[in-house]
Amino acid sequence: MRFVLRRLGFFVLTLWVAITLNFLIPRLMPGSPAVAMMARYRGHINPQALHAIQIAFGVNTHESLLRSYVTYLGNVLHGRFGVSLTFFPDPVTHDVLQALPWTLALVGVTTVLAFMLGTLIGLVGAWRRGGLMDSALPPIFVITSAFPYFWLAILSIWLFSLKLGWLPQSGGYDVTDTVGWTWGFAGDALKHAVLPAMTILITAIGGWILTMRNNTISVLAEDYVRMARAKGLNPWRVMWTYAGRNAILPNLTGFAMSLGFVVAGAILVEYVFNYPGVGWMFLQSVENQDYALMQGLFLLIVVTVLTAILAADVATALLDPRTRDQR
Amino acid sequence: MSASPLGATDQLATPPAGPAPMVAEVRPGRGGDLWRAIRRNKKAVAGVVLLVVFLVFSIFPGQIAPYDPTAEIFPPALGVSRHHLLGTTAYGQDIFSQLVWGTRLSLVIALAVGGLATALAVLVGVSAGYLGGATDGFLSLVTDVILVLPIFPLIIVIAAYEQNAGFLTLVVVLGVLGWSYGARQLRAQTLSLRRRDFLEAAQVRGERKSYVILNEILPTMTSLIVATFLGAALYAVLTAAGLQFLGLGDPNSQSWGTMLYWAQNNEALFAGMPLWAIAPGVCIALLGASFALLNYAFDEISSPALRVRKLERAKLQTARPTPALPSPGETSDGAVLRVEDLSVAYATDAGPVVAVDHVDLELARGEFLAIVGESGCGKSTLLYAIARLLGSPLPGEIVGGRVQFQGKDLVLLEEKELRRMRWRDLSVVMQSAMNALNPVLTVSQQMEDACRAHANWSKAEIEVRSREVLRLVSIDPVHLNSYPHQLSGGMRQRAMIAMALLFTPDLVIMDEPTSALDVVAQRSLMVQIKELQEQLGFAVIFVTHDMSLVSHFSDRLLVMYAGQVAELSPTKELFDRPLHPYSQGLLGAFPSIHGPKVRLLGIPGSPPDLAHPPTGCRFAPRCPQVEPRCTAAEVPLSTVNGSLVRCVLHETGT
Amino acid sequence: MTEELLRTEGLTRYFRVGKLTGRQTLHAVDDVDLSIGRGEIVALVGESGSGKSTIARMLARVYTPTRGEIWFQGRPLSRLRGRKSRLSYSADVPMVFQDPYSSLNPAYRVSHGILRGVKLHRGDLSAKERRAELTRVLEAVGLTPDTRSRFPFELSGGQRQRVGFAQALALRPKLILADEPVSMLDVSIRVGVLNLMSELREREGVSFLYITHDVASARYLADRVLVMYAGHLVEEGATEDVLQRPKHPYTQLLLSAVPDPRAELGLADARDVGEPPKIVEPKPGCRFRPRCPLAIAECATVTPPLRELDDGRRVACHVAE
Repeated sequence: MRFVLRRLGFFVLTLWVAITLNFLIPRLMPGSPAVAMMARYRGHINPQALHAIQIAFGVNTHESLLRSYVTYLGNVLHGRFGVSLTFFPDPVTHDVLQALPWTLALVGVTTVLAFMLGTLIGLVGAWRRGGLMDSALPPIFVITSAFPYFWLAILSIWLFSLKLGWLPQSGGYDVTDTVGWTWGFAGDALKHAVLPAMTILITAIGGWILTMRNNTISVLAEDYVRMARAKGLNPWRVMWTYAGRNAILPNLTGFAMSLGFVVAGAILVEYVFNYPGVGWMFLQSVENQDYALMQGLFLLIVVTVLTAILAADVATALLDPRTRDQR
Repeated sequence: MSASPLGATDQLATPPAGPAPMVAEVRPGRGGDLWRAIRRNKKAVAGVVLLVVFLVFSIFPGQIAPYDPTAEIFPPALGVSRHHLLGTTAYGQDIFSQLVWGTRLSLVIALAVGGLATALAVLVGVSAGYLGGATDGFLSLVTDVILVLPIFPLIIVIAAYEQNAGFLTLVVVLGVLGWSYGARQLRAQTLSLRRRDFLEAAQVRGERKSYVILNEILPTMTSLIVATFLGAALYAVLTAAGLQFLGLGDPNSQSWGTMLYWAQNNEALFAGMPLWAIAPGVCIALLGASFALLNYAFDEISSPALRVRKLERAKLQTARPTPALPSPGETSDGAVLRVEDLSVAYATDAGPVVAVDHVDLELARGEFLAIVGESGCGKSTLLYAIARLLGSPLPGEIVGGRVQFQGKDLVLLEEKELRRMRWRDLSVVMQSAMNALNPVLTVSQQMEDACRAHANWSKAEIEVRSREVLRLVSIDPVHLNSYPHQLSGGMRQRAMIAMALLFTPDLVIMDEPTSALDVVAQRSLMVQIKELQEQLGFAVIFVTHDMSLVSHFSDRLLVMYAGQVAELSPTKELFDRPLHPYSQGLLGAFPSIHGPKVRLLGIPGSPPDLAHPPTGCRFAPRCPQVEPRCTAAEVPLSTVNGSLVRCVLHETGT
Repeated sequence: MTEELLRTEGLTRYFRVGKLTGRQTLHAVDDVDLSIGRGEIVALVGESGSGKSTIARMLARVYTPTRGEIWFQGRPLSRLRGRKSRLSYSADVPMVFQDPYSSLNPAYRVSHGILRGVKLHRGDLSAKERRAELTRVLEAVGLTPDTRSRFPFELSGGQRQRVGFAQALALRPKLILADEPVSMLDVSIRVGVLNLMSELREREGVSFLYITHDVASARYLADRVLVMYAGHLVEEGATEDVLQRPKHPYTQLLLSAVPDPRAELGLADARDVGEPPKIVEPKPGCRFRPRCPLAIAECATVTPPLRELDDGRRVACHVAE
């Protein structure tokens, strides 16, 4: 599968760019912000972690830029990001991995759901051209896709939590509860996830509905769809296998490109809801000038996005035989 | 092409060939046209109105806002009142004034980032697309990397290091990171434009590359550039608001995002003052919505396919000249198809157009009927109307007439019954197999489709039949497992014909199935079709623009002009003694290989505009034998020795 | 023959195809010698993939030849240096394109393309003279002068093609390369455009290289015919000669496949289900051999050269005579 290998290469390249940016940006900023940060570590952590941070931020090292860079790359590959200031003295990797499941559960599930639902609605809407779905929905979704995520989050808190009291307004779980794999906890976590999930879903789904609808309309105009009708195939099959499978292909690549917006939205939503995921922790680290943690989280976000894109590429390769034949 | 960042119909730098992006052809001309189009489109109007309101707010804040937005002189946390339209903030500032003054910053950010990002996108995208080669490879790679890197976290990282990022930094960073989406789309469109001859023409003319990019390429991409701008502006509004909300912008600046920041900081919801958060949020949403609406509306205006037009039947002429054929009834013996008085119309911006005008024809069992005509005569529309397959991209609805096939009127049949008849009794062969075969299914899967829809065969039986039909057209059955793009052009066409014969239908309709092939392959395919027809006994309706192609194969020839039947004769008759001046003209327009070399004339002029068809004979303006009575009244079909012709010169009492 | 205007020797063009790994060479045009005289109309006939369009693009300097040379008025193109001489060649040898719907920039009026050409190549003219030229060429191609302010979408296919010719005429060319100028037009319109080309040759003395897959129109228009197959020139001669007495087996096959309503359906019609090869990394030998009824052993190993027969005909075949 040449195609997938090529995409993997792209994955590695982009990751490398992100890592290099992590390395370069603090060095390029005026005022040496890292120096101030370093002072807060002194004497409180083990030398290895200290050294890792020094390398990452270029403080108190006597090595050349290139050597620092190489060492830094090595550290990154081994997961040595240093120690977090916010959750002192946890190593960064520990905190990062703690936040990850929350985000995967909330953002991951919701995004996939939004994509699948959006694609489905777009497909059906375009299939029934001129129907209610097709004429009423697009303008509505054009507007909802322009909503700022955080505003919708605030609105939903106000409405569903404060006014109506149906759902909790913040956190990933009730702090009086014990964390663990119990049904009670799971139910509680679910309750806390509803509002943030709804916010993300409503805002993200619009774009995918619209593009799937446009794709489907142009696919429906293709000869092979007319041929399928001419063959007297069951309309569901025509819509699904002939129109749908072809219209979804550009949507999958579009998925990759719109992930940036979803990430931005997820960060803001977690912030507003105080939901203990990667985005929330990321902003905490920024507030606390906990650069080590921030860098680790940034890389995690990049890896997650790239993985999602890679998954979409694999799906494209599976669905479209023409990609497999590309030499 | 929508450049909304929330979706894309474009592909990554190494794309599979999917449905092409719906790139819009620029229709210039009077700005009045565009203005009218905008006025008609509700979304565009909404978008423009919103934008204008905000523009006014941003240009004249002092005149509209009642108070100084920063003045903390009022009692804090007031509700809505006459003096304070939206109440006051936690610090005693008037919210409404803040909103109005905040417009300026938000709008400036949107427009500045939009401009910067668009400029970069155009620069990178068009250069990559036009210059190609290594430049393209490099630029595309850079574009893709930036596209994929999550920008919001990256900006947060940058802002984290640099405290109090100023307005300029914000604009520059947003602009420098936000061009990649637009660049991809511009590159894609440039690539598709490269194949357009006018670019090559400019190059051959000797124009410099820079001239070509600036003066030949960019003007044709104005709609895409505008779309890119709107998309970038939307992205800027939302991202900037998000950053300011987080407190990463200058918290003392006047903007909606900062208002939200302070609202959050002062726990607007708990303080029972939701308006602190709702008001600026609504403004952000509305500004964003205005860009999104304009973007979407622009799409619709430039890609007519996206719009749904209703056919105004009331405007159609329903009068019809006296019928030429005896009164219709059931399909007579020996006739496999009988079309009576069939009319097809479709909606255009200029009103309804009748593409097929009261056409009658009858087809005997096993007969080969060729329908000949030039572009716009309605032959393909007629063909697909008979098969009840109208719809995008061949628009149209049947607005009158009957299609008698196997004792039933196809026009009146329900979809379900139609489907039962399809392929078993009536199958279709289209012009381009590359387009007519589903690119993601193998040949055998597509045959299986048809089989399963109409018969209860087992998998083994299906395979046997599939192999059989492939052998009929001399294709090695090993190709059953190939995808369409893996077969050669001629093989694909023949595979399509094979598929049409799976159930040995009574009637096969063919829409120019040979025009994508070269002359030698055309000839052999025609011979093959004829042999199959004689072997299996199906009738054929064959649409073509090339009369000589069918001269040895068709039993009768129907010549169409401007949606009407001009002449219908046995083939040999038509070639030896063409009755209608149009048929004569057509025959005279084909230079011959053998025989004397004479100067030909063709038929100067063009067919009439069917949106406003002329009275009387539609060929009159181009006819060398025209008389005044030609345009006086509608010309009916006359019968002359077993041929039908619509011409006053041969007029008989019907 | 009339005075020679353009001549090629060993004209060859290869393309690299395929992705980074496993790139192969596509032999689009191999070793073509042809010549065009002043005031001559020469037809280059072949099916798609035969290389005829590539030859046109080499003559228009869109592609550079991989090998071989092109002489124009005795001077080799490869030695053309400097913008001025290149521009001068573009004016002498312009091109008219196949697709009337994409050969004119939709964003500009008809006058734009014509005036640009005049401005670029005949910069000595005043604005008034330029406008006079615009009117002259529009009338020369049978269009009314008010066409100049129309947009392409307002014109029919035939009219757009005429504008294409007007653009070429404005440069005062010596040879017009016409790449399938009528194949996308309606049948009734084609003859008008073909007649136009013939008139331009009579009135303005312009030569034409008429590229087409339609043999009948080649017969109608051209003085000489060159037949291309799979990148090679396989037959050449005076039009009537070649078409009535074809010597190369491919030319015979081609002619037998052209539908002629007035003739009877001959016996030689059919069974050939072969297709022209894609010439990637070809081996020596005749490229038509797999489909040739007259092939001998030598055809498999030796590429037949274009040799001259007694009557001025040139054929690339071991067997033909």
